[in-house]
Amino acid sequence: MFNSKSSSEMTHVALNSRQSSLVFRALLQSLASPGETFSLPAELCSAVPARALPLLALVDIETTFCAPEDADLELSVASLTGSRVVAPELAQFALCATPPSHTFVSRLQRGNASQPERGCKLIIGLHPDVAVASVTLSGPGVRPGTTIAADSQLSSFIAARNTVVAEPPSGIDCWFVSPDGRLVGLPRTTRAETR
Amino acid sequence: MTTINELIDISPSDELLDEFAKREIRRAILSAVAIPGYQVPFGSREMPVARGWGSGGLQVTLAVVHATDCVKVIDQGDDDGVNAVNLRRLITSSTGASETSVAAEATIVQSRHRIPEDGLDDKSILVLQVPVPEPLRGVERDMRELARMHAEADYSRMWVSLYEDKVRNGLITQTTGYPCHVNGRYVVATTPIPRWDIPRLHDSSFLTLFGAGREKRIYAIPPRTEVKPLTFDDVPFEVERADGARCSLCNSDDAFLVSLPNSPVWMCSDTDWCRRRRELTR
Amino acid sequence: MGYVSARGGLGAIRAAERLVRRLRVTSESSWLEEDQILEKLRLLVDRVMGEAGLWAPRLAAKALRQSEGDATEAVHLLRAYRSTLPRVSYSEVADADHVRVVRRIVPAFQRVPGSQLLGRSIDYTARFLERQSDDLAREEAEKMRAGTTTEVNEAPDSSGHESDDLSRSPKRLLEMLREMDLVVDRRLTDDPEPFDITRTPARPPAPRSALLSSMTRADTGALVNQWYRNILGPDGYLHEVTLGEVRHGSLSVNVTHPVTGESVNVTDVRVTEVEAIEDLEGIDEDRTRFDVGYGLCLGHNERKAIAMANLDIACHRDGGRTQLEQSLLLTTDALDSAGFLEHLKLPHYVTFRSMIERKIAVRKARRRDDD
Repeated sequence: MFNSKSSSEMTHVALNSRQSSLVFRALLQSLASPGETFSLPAELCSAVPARALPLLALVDIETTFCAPEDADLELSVASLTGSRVVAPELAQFALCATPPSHTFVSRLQRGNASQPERGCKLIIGLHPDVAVASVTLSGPGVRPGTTIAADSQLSSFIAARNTVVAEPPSGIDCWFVSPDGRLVGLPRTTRAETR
Repeated sequence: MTTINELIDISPSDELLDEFAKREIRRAILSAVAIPGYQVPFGSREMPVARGWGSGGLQVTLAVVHATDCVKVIDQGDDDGVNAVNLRRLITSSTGASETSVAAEATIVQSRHRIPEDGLDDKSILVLQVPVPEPLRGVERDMRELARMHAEADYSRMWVSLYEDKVRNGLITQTTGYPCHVNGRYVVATTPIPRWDIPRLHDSSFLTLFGAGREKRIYAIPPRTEVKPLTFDDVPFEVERADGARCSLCNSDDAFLVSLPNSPVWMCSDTDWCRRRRELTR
Repeated sequence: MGYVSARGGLGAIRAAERLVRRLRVTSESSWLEEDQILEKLRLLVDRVMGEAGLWAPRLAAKALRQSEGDATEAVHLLRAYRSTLPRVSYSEVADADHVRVVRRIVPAFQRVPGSQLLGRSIDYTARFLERQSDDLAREEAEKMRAGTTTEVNEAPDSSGHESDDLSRSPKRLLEMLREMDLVVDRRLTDDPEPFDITRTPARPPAPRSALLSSMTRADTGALVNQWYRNILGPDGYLHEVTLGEVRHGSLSVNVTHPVTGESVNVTDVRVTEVEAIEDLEGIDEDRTRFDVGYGLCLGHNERKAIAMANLDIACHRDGGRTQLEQSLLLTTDALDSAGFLEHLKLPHYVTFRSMIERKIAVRKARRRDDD
């Protein structure tokens, strides 16, 4: 089904029904149990950048997304799914290869009290570096004592993310994906305190 | 370039929903889990079952289920009721998932009006069928006003209505579908599950998804989430109890019981729970 | 034996299905062919397609046969089938000005350019029930078919003159009224995407395209009833409007070819289209002009399109003061209303048990108060 090619060479690869379902279940579980690690199907991660899998599973002709600073991947996802590339301000989904800056995070849609579901769903690639901080999580779905080890880039992202989710029910919902397909979810309702 | 045929092939012909319908429902489910208790609008396709008969629960299940899942479907707690049977065979025949009546074996439980007495854990997803997703329908008819009330968390009319109920009747007379506050923010319609089942929504180990097909809304209560039935400090929340009632089959008094008309004979509504209780005491 | 709901599981369902199927397909009379339904019950086929929102005459005929004539059930079959089909493309905009009419009447004027075309209509035939025997009726039909009389599809226009300027796509009355500067101009300067009610549920306040698309596939009876309730006054008050046009004709539906970029015709649909001319007389309305309501539905279904056009302008004039928009958007779908109504047949004994428990509790509380 998949060729082991770089993202720029992906032209005939789309997730089929079964594969989309598996990826979705991992996304669902990780959002319902924030901070816990789940796995995307291994066989999919070897052929496609793992961080692209959530978009490939979820988006279609009726959605919008952006993958800034990753033009090849953006083009691939668009042609494989039919989803439209738009500016970050308008995107329902955003894909970043690494934790993005505060400026970028502030541009994303947060929805509002009447339509909180318009908040952007952000997928972030993680290449874990040396952990400098421990982030304690609490809120719906969180098992007591759950923490995330964060390097400096992730820590600054979480600070930015915290300002953007400070007015519930609006906010953004995030997933972190490592290259080997490990997945962690962080919905807007989760309180993330960095120590 | 993907051909039209490939696009169509993505949706195997024996499925009830095309692939893109499933994606839309999945996006709505993720939004619902991220905003506990908020009613997320979704397109809601027509299903082989009629509106009002579980088309929403069915769509949620079909969007979530995988061929490796094991599915339990109940109606009023009964696996063998005709409507539950019909839904279960639709699900298993179109997805290849296996079926069970034992909640502990199921990875997905689709239910109309009951939560299984036991067996749900952090591997389970409970899908409740919702006839009316709007908890404030009784105090407000205009949908524009209802949208404002939820957006502004203005539930004052609901509280007034409960207070008047208490004053007039001496207690709160809400029967099933008791309104609850989820994560301190949204008031939800818990579907016509009995008050007996309400405490199980609070700080649960399982994820609960609510599908309202006719009104085209999906909402969710994640596990480990605060769910408080609306009541007053001096009015304790009461579940359904009948003094001395015991199931005539398994003798338990710690399950939700239903009875014959004008009769002292009681039965467990959760038929599989009852069956296992009987096997234990044999 | 304890309290038992309708049980017996799979066996019971299968037995019920066999019963339904047996009577449907093996009764004494001859097999009901799709062509018979398409030709002899065409208005029912059109109604079902209109309420399903799916142009597929042969499938509608199959659905009607399967549902044993229950129109709402046939609509359900079509919509559920539609749910299994992926959307592969969007059509190009189909301009209703290009409808090729087979019937076109303009009640607002005696004569109009492009002619009044009565077409095949029963409006002015006398409602006498034809009671001759089946055999005699069949004989007469055979004679007519074999005979030399040519069926005239078009009647001369109502003034008795042969129409020299009979046009298949006559100019709209609305255009003429615009030229006379008699109509409020509500044309948009932007070109918003139409609201897609099959992807996003519409709730008030909704764009006009959401209202029109909800009404176009609404239950015919529901729309007629909504209109009539508002005429007689229990809900609100509309007055009757003058109809500008009633048209029935065919319209091409095209898509842009994904490779060549050319416009390709994928089908021709038949539609009924109505414009309703509203006499503005409200305090904040333009008393020197008319406004226009629009109705369009698949197939030949005049009462539905007329009701729709009336309700479109009524809703606009209501401007959100009442809950008319909510009623139209949310209570006129055949499947939502019938499905929810009939769901009352499902077991509700858990709720009933809970209700009885509360009644007993209230009595106890009252006895405590009395003591």
